[in-house]
Amino acid sequence: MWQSLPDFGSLVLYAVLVSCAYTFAVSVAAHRDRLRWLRSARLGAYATSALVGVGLTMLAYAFVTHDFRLRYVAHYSDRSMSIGYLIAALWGGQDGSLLWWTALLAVFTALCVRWMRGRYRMLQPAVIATLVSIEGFFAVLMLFAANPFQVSLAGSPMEGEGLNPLLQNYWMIVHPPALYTGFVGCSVPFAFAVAALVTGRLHEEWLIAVRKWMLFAWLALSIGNVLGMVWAYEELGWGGFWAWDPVENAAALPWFTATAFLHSTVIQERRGMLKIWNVFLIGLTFFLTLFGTFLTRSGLISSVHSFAQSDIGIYFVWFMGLVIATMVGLVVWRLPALRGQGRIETLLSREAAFVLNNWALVGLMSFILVATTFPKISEWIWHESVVVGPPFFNRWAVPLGLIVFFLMGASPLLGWRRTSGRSLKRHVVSPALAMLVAGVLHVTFGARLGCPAFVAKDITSPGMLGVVTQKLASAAPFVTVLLAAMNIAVIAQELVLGVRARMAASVERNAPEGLSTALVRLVSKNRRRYGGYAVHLGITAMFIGFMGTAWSLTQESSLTPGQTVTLGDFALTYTGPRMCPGGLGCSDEENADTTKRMVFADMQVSKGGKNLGRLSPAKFIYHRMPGSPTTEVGLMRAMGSDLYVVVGSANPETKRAEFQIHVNPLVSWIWFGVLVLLLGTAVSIWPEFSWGTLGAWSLVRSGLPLTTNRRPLRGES
Amino acid sequence: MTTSEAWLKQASTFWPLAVLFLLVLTGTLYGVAPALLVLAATLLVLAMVMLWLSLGELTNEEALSLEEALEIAAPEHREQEKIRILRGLRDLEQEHRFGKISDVEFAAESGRMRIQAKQLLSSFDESVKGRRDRVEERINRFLTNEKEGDTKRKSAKSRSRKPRKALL
Repeated sequence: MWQSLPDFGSLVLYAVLVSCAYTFAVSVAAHRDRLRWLRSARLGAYATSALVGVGLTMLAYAFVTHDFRLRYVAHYSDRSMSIGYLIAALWGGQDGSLLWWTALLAVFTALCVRWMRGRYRMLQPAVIATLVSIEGFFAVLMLFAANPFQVSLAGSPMEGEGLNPLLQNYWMIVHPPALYTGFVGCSVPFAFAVAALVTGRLHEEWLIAVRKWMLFAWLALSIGNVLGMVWAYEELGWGGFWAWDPVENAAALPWFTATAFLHSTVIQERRGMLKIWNVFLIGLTFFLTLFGTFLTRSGLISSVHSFAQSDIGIYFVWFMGLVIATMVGLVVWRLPALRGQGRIETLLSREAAFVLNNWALVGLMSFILVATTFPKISEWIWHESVVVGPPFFNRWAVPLGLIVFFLMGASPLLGWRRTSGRSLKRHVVSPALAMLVAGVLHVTFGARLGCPAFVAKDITSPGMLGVVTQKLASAAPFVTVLLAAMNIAVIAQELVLGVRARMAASVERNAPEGLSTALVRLVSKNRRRYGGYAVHLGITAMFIGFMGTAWSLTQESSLTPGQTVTLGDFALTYTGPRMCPGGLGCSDEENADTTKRMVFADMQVSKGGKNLGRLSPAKFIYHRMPGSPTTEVGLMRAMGSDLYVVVGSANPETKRAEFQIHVNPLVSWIWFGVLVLLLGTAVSIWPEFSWGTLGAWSLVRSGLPLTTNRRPLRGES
Repeated sequence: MTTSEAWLKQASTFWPLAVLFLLVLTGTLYGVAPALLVLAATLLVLAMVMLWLSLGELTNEEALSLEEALEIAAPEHREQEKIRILRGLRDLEQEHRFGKISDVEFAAESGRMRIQAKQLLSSFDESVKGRRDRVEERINRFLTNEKEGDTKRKSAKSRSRKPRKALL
């Protein structure tokens, strides 16, 4: 098999395609209440997933054994790479990442089929058919445009080219899988939406089915995007975490629509409204995952970390077209059944706030989408490519983001259908007070602490619009502080009200509960609600982190050993350069690394006279890629401010070094916020009801008739 | 369930552990590459078995066994509707306790949801009405038969006693 691994790999991909086609056909046939065929389709889905697993394992084997006959392996690995990076190289390039994507989809398909055991019998055939269709598309893509098992035309080289040094970072081992998990996870809700439309079962059944799948995909998208931010912050060395790069933007787009869906689904569940909107959001989220991949792979928009221009773009265009046509066709077909039951009675209601939030999120997504693709749009319209830079994104995304932030805090204050004026007044007092206190404190002490309420901003466009956007940008930190205070106060108030009500009820029942017991029971009985509030708290922490960029300080310095530079509260003394391996002062670990030459420029850091330790920003020159030196950031993290030092160059003779020093306030709050978000989602995703107890009789009721040869009637569960 | 399926079912409980053990053993003794080959081989065998069973199902004319039926059966959508209404009522009561909605609104909304719940429960009743009638009919028939049986037995007893008496 060793001699024929490339052929075997390709054969497995063909087998995947055949298995997908077979499972699709059987699923479609099973739709006509053929229960044996449904069992067959389920088994076919498992078989397809196992075959994809074989393909991925064989590619991993090729990497581990340095089988450079494979073009992909030769291009993205070399013999010096550790096992961890060899496995990470699976998704380091285009062909492998497509196989990785398919493998994740195969895992989701197998899990979904297993999860549907004893549930959603009428939806199962269409769900399986949709999922294997997507798998089939990726199999076609790999076989005819980007085969990871293709051999090098020039023969097998003795050594591989190695993974891009920028990708040899531990965050890159976890960032792409997390992001892909989020992208691929959106396929399951999409499959359920298609199944609901195909079968006409458009009541809340499919929404309840997809909620947790979507929540999981949303969580993975959140983690994946934030890990990308951490990677950019630590590895790219430009001082920030988000550069509005097209690929970054493409990865964030489905997050906005998925967030909107998670909120609008509550309205349909509660009021029977927004049925078309929910189907639209699911379809749009899935479409955006494809569009993001298309943007990354087609080379349509130039990006710092997109894959090279390739031929697979056209395949994505056709598939995206098919997805749009399918969704539009199905929605038009089912339009009468999709009409909502209720309507929004007043703006002062929870559903109105959710709808506004949805519009703001979709508006933000649309703005980012248009701005990201603007170079291409302008080229098509004016035959001139107009590139939209970060200042433009910041000018509009910040106010839109703050609107979402406001609505996030305001929604829990409102009740369903309508909120009485008296109730609103009573619930608004605490958040308003919190905003007032935070605002006064910020204006009074902010400037003294290095975080003024208003920051000076330049007018970036002519006319009234320029003045308005300048004022908005200038007031953004102050508004963020106010809204953060409001959000925290609202969540605290909700908890206090809940605990108080629970304690009062427990006294009435003659079984009084203490504060902690009441709190734990309140949360455990309402996981969805309080898990959601915890997520809001995490997002508030992230907004605080984003706000910190308004107060960041940057300085460029050229220093000789012994010289000190001060920035903010930090004093940095340059102690001199170090060349490793082999130079003076190198550690054993640095001396043992022979894959690269490392030039460190050490700095001693102190704050308020207190020594904080040494920072060693560096340049790494990999022997395999001497033309692409990497920047290694010297980073000192703190909840207050990060000290971030980049060395531009260090002259070994004069020992003079050029530095770029940044003080980035509150960045750690973003990473902290993600942890809170993770916790909140875990609470929210935890099962509230057990099918084992709730659905047992129902399951038996529906199962028993199937044991005879009686076919269930159409529409019957 | 056929013998091979029963065997597969039993195997499915321990094969993941067996494969994991084999992977760890191969990885420890021979390295990562042979362990990957073991994993690939296992997945290939799994794929082939699944495809074989899948093809077998296409030609299987037998009625589903209870286990098979439960595997693909689904709780009624009304069960989920019940969960949705119960969840909605719980949220509504909580919001009322928090003072977010007035007493009038609460009464109107909870009344609406309770009507929905009643309709749902009555639809449950209607859905089982036919079966319940059939079951009642069978029970009645059974009871009637039992009665008739008792009567016959009694008369038989009495008949059998009479000759005895006569004999006596």
